[in-house]
Amino acid sequence: MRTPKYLGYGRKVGLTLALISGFIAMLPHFAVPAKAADDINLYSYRQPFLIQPLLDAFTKETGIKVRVVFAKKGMLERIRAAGRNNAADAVLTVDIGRLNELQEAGVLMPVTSDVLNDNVPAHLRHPDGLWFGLTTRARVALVSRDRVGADELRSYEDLAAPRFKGRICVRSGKHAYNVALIAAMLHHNGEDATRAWLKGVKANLARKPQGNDRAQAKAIYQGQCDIALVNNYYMAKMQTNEKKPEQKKWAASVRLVYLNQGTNDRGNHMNISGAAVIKDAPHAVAAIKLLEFLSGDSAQKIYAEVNHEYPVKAGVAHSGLVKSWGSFKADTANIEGVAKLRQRASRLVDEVGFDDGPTS
Amino acid sequence: MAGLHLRNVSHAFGDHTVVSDVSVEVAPGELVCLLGPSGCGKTTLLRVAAGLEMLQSGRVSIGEEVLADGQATRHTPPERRGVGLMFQDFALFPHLNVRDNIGFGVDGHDIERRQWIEEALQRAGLGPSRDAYPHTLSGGQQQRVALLRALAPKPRVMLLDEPFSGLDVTRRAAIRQQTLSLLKETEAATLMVTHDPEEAMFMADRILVMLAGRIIQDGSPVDVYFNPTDGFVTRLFGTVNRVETTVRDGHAETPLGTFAAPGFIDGTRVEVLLRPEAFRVLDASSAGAPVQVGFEPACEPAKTRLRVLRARPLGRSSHVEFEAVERGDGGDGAGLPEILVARIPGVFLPEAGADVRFAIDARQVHIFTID
Amino acid sequence: MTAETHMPTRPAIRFGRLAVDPWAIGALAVAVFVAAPLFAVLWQALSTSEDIWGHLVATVLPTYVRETLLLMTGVGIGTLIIGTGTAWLVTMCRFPGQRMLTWALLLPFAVPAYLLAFVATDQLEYAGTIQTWLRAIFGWQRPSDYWFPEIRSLGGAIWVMTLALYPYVYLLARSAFLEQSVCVLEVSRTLGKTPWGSFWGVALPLARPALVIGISLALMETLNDFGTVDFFAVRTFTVGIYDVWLNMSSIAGAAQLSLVLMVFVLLLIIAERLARRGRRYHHTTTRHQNLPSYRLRGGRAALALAACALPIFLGFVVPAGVLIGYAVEFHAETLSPRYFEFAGNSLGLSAFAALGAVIVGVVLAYAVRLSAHPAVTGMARFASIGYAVPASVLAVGVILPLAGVDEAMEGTTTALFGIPAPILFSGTVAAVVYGYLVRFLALSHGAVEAGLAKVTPSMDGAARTLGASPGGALGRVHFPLIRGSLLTAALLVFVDCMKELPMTLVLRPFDFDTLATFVYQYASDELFEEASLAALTIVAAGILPVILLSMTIVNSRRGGT
Repeated sequence: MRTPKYLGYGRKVGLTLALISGFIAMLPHFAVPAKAADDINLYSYRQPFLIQPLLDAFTKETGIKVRVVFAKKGMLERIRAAGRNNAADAVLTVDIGRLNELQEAGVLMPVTSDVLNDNVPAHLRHPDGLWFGLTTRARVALVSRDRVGADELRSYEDLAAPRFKGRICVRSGKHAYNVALIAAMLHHNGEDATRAWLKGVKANLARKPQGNDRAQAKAIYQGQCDIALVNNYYMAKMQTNEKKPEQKKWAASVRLVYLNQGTNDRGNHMNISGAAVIKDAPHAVAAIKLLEFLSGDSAQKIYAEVNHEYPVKAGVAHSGLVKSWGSFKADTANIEGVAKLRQRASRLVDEVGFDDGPTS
Repeated sequence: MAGLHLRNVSHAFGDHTVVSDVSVEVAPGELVCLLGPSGCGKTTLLRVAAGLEMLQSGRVSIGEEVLADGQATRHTPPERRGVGLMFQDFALFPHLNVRDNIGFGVDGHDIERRQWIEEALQRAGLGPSRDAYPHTLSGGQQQRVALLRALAPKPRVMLLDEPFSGLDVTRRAAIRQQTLSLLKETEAATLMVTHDPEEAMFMADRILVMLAGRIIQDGSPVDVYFNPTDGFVTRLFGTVNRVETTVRDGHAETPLGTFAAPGFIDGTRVEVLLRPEAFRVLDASSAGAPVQVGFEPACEPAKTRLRVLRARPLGRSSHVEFEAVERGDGGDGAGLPEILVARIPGVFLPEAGADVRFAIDARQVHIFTID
Repeated sequence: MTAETHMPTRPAIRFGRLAVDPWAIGALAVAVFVAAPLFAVLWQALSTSEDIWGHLVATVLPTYVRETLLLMTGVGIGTLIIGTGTAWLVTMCRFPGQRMLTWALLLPFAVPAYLLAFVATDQLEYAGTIQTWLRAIFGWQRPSDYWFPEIRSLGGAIWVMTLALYPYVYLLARSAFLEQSVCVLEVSRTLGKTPWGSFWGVALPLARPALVIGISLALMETLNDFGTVDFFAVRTFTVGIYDVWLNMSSIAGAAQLSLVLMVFVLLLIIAERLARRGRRYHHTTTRHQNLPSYRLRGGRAALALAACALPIFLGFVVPAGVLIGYAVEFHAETLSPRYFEFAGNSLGLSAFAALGAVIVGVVLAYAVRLSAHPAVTGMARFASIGYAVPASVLAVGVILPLAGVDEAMEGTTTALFGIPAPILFSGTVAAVVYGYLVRFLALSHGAVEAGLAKVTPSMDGAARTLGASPGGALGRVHFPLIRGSLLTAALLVFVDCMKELPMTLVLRPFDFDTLATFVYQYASDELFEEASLAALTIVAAGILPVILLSMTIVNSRRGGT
């Protein structure tokens, strides 16, 4: 009873205004022009701000707008549930695992495109055109310039060696990049050897797996560990980070080491980022156009220059920084075959309790 | 105007039967009290009549109109029954002022009822409080608002649930009087629930005594008081003095006197219940207290002298506790209780230890078979 | 006047001998509508033959269960101590700053746990401000030179979630203390108890039901949290669910695990319900006088002030300060026109969802009040457990029925008119609002229910016998009486929707971002600074409701309205 009257009114007015303004703001979104317009709807596993330059270039060239939903889970379920009413045209992923999953779920459209077939080498695309790799990235080791000798670390297998006890940092074993790596180890070395290896690496960890790839470089810089596994383009991104100059220091404190480079060795593990067209895509033609564009010269150049990934298209130059790390031998194991081992790899991570860290 | 008819109503919550096979008739203008201890099912019956509880079996009607039928063919919701219900806690709407509370059930365009409300406010002395909110009112005012609110839509049936229990004792008598006169002005059939026998005696044209979901006596206040059907009804009006004995030659003989026990077979074990009001003082040999003489034809001097243990003035009457001086010829050992309680009109305060002779008013003595 | 002419104009709907109010039918329909995604999750869990359990039990499940239980225990104890302690101090004691603290203690509500986690890490990890500073002072070089607690740990998660969630307990404890009859406390004092003795012996036991409700709400959020535990590398059940989903490509397995999680939460809900049932008997007295106030001076006052200020400082001032710092530093990147678009989206969605959740909450709670029919009560309860299902899994549960409805509608219109109906639900804003509704109904339903419980049943009876229909009574009696609770319900849902992330990510339309999803896309790349303004806005949006909320509690004590 003692509440001043004006407060009561203020509350009511405020709430009403908030509601009304909210409703007005919402109204346009209740209509779904997706099916009618010639825009492309894209599911992306990659943060929009990372791909925006590419999409802007595409729109500029073709006049087709691209609308994006970014999410790391639930996309497959959304596509599957929508069935014929599916509104998505294409999917962009950062890892072979997701492409493989979509393919196995049967929601991808086989695409026959001379442009794509010309631009993307056969081993980086699905034989039936269900998906196409757009870039490749190498999972490399970053090692401390001060604390790791020149030839101390040569292969993924080395990481399990007792001399690295308490010196390794890595993100969660369950992260797609690591699962893909472990799947590759399974492919090459078999289950028992891989299990033993994973146990060895776990025992060598300096800390419980955590953070993202960059955070591992930071940990080396801070002296928490000496060796980290990261995707190579992060090195470039740290070296050129003007917004956060401290990342340059992190990068300066480490050396990039390609692994398994011996003459008879299999080469460094590679993953791909890729794209696919959805089976029930309302704008399949435009979506194929987008894929063709992304595999074309200008887009591949952006991938190389801005993201420091390896373009799949022959003849597109690598970025200067990437070149500065020297050339290397890539593991050419069948990428789809490796992807199929993903689940076993994931279970192996559970079995050895990798994410529990070094203590247990 | 049509009366309220509840026929063969039974009601259970889960496995627990609270009302079994009860029938109540209230004529228009009549005020019937449901009297019984708490938990005897009287409030449930009221709620069934109002439609707040779904009728389970039996039938509820007002006049010819069937409101609810236990055969599950009909349930008129409370808002369409034309029933006024007044709650024990008054249930005034805290967000509405006095006038809006009373006017809640009245159509804003109903000039006649609006007029009635204005008049009623004045007559009930609520005129100055018409804009006040309930929590600022006294208990008596709240009670009047609740009553007027229930009466305002001109209900055919009024239901009152313990309408005075929330009030100070000192205010009760006056408020009862007011309530009664308000109710009598309407022609509504009124059913009132109470556990206070005095209240029921004061208000009711007829009293229905309820126990464990059944009606055990239906009669006028005089009937219920003077011809209780069993020990329970007798005890409703307060403590009684109880003596066990056996009927001989149509009489129950006790140390306090021999009472006619018509209709009992010889040899029946009975309890003789003497209300405290049954005692009439004949003389007080030593106390020097004023001898209260209230000779009435029915009174008969008792055989036993009683010794005073304690006496207290209660205002209009005195409370006296006795013990028996000599055990009377109890026949087959019918014992007196250790302490006997008497209620003597006026001031009667003998000293402890004084011997008193007395007579018993046989109308205040009730005899029941012991099962 | 014959019986026939007076038949009710709106006959009750009947199933056999059972008379059911239309309200019950309506409520049942609403409950089924809200529960549809839950059924979808159930259906998914049962629709597989693959067995993930053997593997899980043999490997990681024990860890998930252990860490979940430890986290719950830690957060439970933490929120209980901080929430109850501060509520008691600001309600019963008088000391400098106490008035301001009464609402300031709610401020951490405005900071989503994942933001707090980020800021805590930012400050406390090896490279963070604190440790860098310590190293500079003591000349340490490497981590092995000294010991410092690891923030990315179970302990860190407990701290962060405690700070983010204690306001639940504080809120309910405070209103419980305010509602306690002063007589009871005074009796306790006259019986020779000290203020502390009264607290332990009387106030705390009386407030227990409220505390159970508060803690169970906090624990439900803890169980459901993914952002914080993922960030801190704590492996709870929820983390396990997402792992099964994403790395074993088994949404069915994830749904099965979700069901187990639901059992956890159901236990919490049952505890809460029991507590609430007990609570009904508590406010019998309407006599509220001014509460006794123990005036604290000197050292004790300072201690009380510090005890109350610390959680605010850690849970609000620091994170807000860090965010403001970043927002200023990176204002060029963050203050884009799209920012306003995202803010508008967040506000609109949250407002819609809050309104919807309150309406549905009222319908369900009122229908339960009208008819205690087990079907209605049961469905109303079931519909409120959306809170218990991991949000992303629930989002998939939302997708399925909506897609079904769209397909059915399309089929119908195609058959009737030859043109397919537009897709109204899948991937539209409606889907997001629906998702929020399903997820947060527990909040609004609970608040409305608690409000209604305070309206004595005789009010209903009085209104009905005075000629008001059930709907009329709701509008004329209940709404005015529970206005405060409705506002509370709306605000709780509003704030939670502003923060909501996982469902929004999965359900939103193309090219549609809210502040939370915008923050996430940067935060997930640990480029949090770029999204600091958006994050700050989420926090700011949470502040106003927090203050209104605290005013509502105090007002509820004054008179009936």
